[in-house]
Amino acid sequence: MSITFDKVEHVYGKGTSFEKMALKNVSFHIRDGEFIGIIGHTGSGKSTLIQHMNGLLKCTGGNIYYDGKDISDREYDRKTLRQNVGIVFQYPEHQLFEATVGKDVAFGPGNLGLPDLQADLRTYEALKSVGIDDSLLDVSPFDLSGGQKRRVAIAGVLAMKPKVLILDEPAAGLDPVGRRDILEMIARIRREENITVVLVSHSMEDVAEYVDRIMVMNDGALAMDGTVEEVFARKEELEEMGLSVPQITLLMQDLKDDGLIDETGIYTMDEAVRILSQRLLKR
Amino acid sequence: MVRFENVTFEYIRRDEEGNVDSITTALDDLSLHIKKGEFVAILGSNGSGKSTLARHINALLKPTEGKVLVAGYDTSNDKDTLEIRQRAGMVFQNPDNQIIAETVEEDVAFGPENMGMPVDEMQKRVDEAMKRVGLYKKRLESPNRLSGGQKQKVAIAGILAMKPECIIFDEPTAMLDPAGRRMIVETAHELNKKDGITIILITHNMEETVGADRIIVMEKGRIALEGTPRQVFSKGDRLKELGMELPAMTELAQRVGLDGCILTREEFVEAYKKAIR
Ligand SMILES: Nc1ncnc2c1ncn2[C@@H]1O[C@H](COP(=O)(O)OP(=O)(O)O)[C@@H](O)[C@H]1O
Ligand SMILES: Nc1ncnc2c1ncn2[C@@H]1O[C@H](COP(=O)(O)OP(=O)(O)O)[C@@H](O)[C@H]1O
Ligand SMILES: [Mg+2]
Ligand SMILES: [Mg+2]
Repeated sequence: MSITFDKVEHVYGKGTSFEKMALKNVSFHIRDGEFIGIIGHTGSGKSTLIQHMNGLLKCTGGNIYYDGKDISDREYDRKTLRQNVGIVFQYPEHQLFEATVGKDVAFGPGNLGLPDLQADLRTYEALKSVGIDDSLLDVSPFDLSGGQKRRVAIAGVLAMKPKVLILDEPAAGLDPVGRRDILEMIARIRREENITVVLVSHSMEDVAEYVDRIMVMNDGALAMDGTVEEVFARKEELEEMGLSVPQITLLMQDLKDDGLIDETGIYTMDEAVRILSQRLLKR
Repeated sequence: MVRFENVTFEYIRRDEEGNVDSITTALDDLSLHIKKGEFVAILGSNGSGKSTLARHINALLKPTEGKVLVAGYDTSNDKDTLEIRQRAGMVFQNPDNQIIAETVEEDVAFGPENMGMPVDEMQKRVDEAMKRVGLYKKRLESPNRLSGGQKQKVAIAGILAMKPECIIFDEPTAMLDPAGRRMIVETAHELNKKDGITIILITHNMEETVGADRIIVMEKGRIALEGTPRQVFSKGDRLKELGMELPAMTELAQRVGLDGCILTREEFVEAYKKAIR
């Protein structure tokens, strides 16, 4: 599904003393199957933005289109929109509530009115996809480890078979192995299911490694929108916004400033290893 | 400053009838000594016992077996709990859950107020604490309007107003943006260097630990690995077994075959210059 935001605005608490313009004039177009990263300082509007993507929040100005159709039209089927666009919120494991892992994942499909057999099938598939073993189906989610709980919560969203998967800081609070596993899993699901993925992250490293395109939010506005190369080339501006560039990029810039390498625009560990090993072998 | 003597802690879960349902041993015969003025970073996979350890230091939890001493006070003696909490403050992961008041100033004053301190003394301490973290200008603003990093600084100021000897940070940067992360780690180092406050920093971010005096890596309620950052990060294989990784500079240096255990960008540039010469 393609997503178009046209001059979208969102004001919280309009007319009250708490009035806050959380989205200002945000316009972009996401093509079917893209892998998008969203970065931005705390309070820049990332969570507000993604809640507009499945109609949980209504914009107070502008328009949002899915596959060219305005989702605010009276005839628009917003129930289907919520099935098609799955959001994994921050710390989603806090929202697990059923007595068993299986029931928790089956909750969404059950609500769609699917026959039990089909809901079960989706539950199995989703759990398999996030790497949770069948043997845990009847276990209470509260007896799982932090990383496992998060996977179960993600499975609950996947069981709805979304065409667009949005994740708000899915790796926050996980240990290094847990973080890598979750991100690899998301990348694999995207490849296998061929879906659009939107990843909100505070890690410049993770964004550089996984996504194709980065959108930068700053004070409610879309400040940058481009490829990893285009966005991370604007280091000073990013720093002014409370963001940064990957560690590796800073190092490669230091090496270039000292005249030790010629390359610029290196954003990942693997690229840096390739360039520096060549140089070191030649000597 | 902080001493754990053969500490075991069990979380005991009971069913509705009060019968024991399950027991988790979160600390397992753990001994540890943290000196006054030390900066200790604690790593370890999720569930390895880091938060349980942290909560023992300000007497939120008491050992099932063994003893925890903080500034000479035994945390098992309930009468000393306030003395301990005044000396050892804790900053948690979620900045939003720690905000309680309408203005920054009131929030920072919450702890000293509860200690029953004279008003003049309290105001002085609150002002000093807000200045110390650079929030004095924002003292009349609502904490909710601040950035994530600034909210964490409000929590830190609230502890500083109690004149603590030790601050325990339990994943304080997990929810922050890059500027917020840097702000908090720098503040922790500054409080350690300039004010001599003992710092215990729990984190999943390897970069945040390279400036520590000592790193402790936990596994299943025990200390699995311990040493200076250079000692710990030269044991890459063991760290991977423990679910950790290397700081980016250390990993890159190893992968391109630079000698020594490199921790920072400056060290990397130096080592690289030497290698190509
Ligand atoms: N429910 C709400 N009511 C009022 N203001 C809100 C609400 N949710 C968010 N805000 C405000 O809107 C702005 C953007 O918030 P958010 O979208 O959560 O940012 P981010 O996810 O980038 O941290 C912030 O200033 C925040 O305080
Ligand atoms: N309130 C609790 N009740 C029962 N078990 C708990 C509780 N808090 C933590 N645990 C368990 O204790 C162990 C250590 O947890 P914790 O100290 O939170 O680890 P960490 O902070 O390293 O992630 C884990 O197995 C965890 O599941
Ligand atoms: Mg958010
Ligand atoms: Mg913890």
